[in-house]
Amino acid sequence: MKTDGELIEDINGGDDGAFEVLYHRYRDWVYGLARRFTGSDGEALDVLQETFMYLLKKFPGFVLTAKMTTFLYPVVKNFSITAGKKRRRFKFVSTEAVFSNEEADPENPLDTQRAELRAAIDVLPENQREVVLLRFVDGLSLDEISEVMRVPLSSTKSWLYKGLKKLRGNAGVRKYFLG
Amino acid sequence: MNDKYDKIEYDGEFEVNGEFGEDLKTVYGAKRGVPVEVDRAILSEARKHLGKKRSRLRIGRWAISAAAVAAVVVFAFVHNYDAGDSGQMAMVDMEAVKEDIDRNGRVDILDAFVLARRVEASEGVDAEWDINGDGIVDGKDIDAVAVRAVRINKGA
Repeated sequence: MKTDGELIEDINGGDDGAFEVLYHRYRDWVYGLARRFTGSDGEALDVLQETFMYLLKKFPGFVLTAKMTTFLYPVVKNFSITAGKKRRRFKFVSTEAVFSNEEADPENPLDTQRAELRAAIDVLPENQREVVLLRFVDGLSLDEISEVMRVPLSSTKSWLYKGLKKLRGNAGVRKYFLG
Repeated sequence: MNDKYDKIEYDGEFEVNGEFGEDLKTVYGAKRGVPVEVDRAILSEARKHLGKKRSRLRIGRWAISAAAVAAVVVFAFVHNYDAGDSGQMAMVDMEAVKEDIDRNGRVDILDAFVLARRVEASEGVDAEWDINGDGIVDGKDIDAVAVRAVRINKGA
């Protein structure tokens, strides 16, 4: 399997097949991230397309100086913010933005547990929430998180600590903690 | 602050179970997959965009070859050109003349261009075009065809 760097080299040479491989490698990650930022599947799809069009325009001549996720994260975030501004400008409220509560069954204890988890995460300050999600949803290391968020490692560690501490203090999600 | 973080990692104070990550993925993950139409639209744009770039690259390489051939022709003219020559491409007996790449019965600069194009594309290269007999069909053979074209032109 080719590395991202090798694929990028091929794309710089005009290889659209290499772009396809790179696209499929990061598509779901970009989509999931955009979904989190926008809260809407529809807007997340727009952000997905804009992100890969942005990446495409970098070729030929694109040089990856960090990890691909490090490059993509701020792009996804910025397009998501723009999508949010547009939505507000047109006073459009996506029904999907109200999370998928339509899928939650209050009778189902698992759904209730997840709803409590979401409620607890949603009240965290933005930086803490982002670090917790990057760590546990995207599986990024703390070094990677500080790279993608472009903040010192110490800030990342601090936000993760504070976020987890608050979550543990929440009776609804206390069950997830071992200690 | 690092000390506090170290506690997260090493003393299990904030250690979470596997369900935590799984539930977060369920809650925050995309509810639907990316529609195939979106994949197609993005990849179609990629093909168009990269196709254009590829063409430019090819043209670029082709232009370099053309410039190389032109340089050889100028060089050959300077050294071999006969002032009395009419400048017309001479018809010659082409039996066993391997420089006639396009097989049109004469060796001219177009043969050098045709060979340059084939060499650049790395396809359809005929072993017969190893003009200088070094076992490789490359730029040196293109130069040889160009020189031969000028010599024939001169009336050699």
